[in-house]
Amino acid sequence: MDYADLVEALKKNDSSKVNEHLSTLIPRLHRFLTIHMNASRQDAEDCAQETLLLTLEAINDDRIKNPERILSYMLTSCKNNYLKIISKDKEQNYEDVPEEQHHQPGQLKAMLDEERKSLLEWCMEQLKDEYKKFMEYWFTDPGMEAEKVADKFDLSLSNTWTRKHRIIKQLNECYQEKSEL
Amino acid sequence: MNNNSRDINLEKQIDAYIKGNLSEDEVDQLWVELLKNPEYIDLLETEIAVKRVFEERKRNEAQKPTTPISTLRKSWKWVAAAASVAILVIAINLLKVDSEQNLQGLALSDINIAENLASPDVLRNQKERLGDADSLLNIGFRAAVSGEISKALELYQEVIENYQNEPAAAQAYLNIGIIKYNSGDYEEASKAFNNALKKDTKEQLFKEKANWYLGNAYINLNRLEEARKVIHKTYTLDGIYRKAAFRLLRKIDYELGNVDFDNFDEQIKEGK
Repeated sequence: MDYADLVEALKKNDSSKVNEHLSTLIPRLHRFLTIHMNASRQDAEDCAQETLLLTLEAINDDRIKNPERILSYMLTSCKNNYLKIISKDKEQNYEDVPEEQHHQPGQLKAMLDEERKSLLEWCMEQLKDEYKKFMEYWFTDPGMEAEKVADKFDLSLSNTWTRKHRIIKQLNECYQEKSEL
Repeated sequence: MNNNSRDINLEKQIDAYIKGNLSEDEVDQLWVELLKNPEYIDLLETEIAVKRVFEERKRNEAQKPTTPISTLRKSWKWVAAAASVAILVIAINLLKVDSEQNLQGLALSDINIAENLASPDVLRNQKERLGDADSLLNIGFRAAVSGEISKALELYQEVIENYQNEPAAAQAYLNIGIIKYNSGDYEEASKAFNNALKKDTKEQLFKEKANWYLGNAYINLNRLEEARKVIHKTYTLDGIYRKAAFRLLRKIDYELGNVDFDNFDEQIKEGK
């Protein structure tokens, strides 16, 4: 989807196109915030909403000169909004609030991660032995280069990337399937 | 997404991102691409989770005690039957040692620096700017593992003085505690672990470590009531030190003479 269209759609008051763009963008911005910024679900929702409002305002005020860079603008705005939330949280944390209240979002995330981990481990067990070894070799050493993996498994570099992609895709599908049960 | 619609450059960027090899600008560019290709966000999430599974396995492997029992478990099947008798004897002896060993003997003798020093999370976003708190933690880590302990302590102190309100300060306190613990200065170690815990950190493993090490430092200082409190906290955090914490709790309560062993499990669960 070309998000430069969003600017155009807003200027033309094409609300159905604007809504179409926004409905796809919001969950993606959530994921940026949770994956990259480690935001809690609630913070991610607040932030993504705030970012969209600010972006729409900026478009309406004609402050976005280059529609091609609309996504960069949104990401930067997302980061800034989230950092503002965090700094507000920090101020509150210095007050005398019971410890449990601070940690609830983190604990919830840990529980979800644990569930994800168990399902993923199950999926990893279903892989062929050769694939298990491949993944272990790739991920156990943080500095592992694709070239070394290719040498070890006697594959071309291109086939090494393809194999990795296939395995991750297979694990992702397995996880999605299991998590829907 | 089939192989024809694959974006290999994006896959390589994701790999570099997960390994912390991208600059801030490159990360931003990557996320712009990910927002356009949400199916790759799924794959990124899975890849991060797979990496964590392997890292955790590696960590658990490293923490596994290399007792004669675990060594024997890895041996050939045909030896197993004969070895089972030996395992039983060894196990009985280990239990005997446990009950006879003094409390200080059960506490950690030292803490593995390379595995346990806290360092910044560079999984997704590597920051290289010198003078940054995270960079100082990284340089401190390198100094500590290279044996330059005084330099590492100075760097951690610098983090604490200049970045008091950042998570790095909590990590610096923890690291000072670990170094002091290993040098046998349990008084200073306990102060540092306490300071680490006073910082607001949402990271579970960090809290577990700080409580666990603090409890061990208190045992070495023979401050058993305080040791019991923080080791019980470690136990309730229900993480990687749970079993070890349980074992120490038993011993501490035995030393303090304040437990009815018939109901020990229940008492611990109830937080008594």
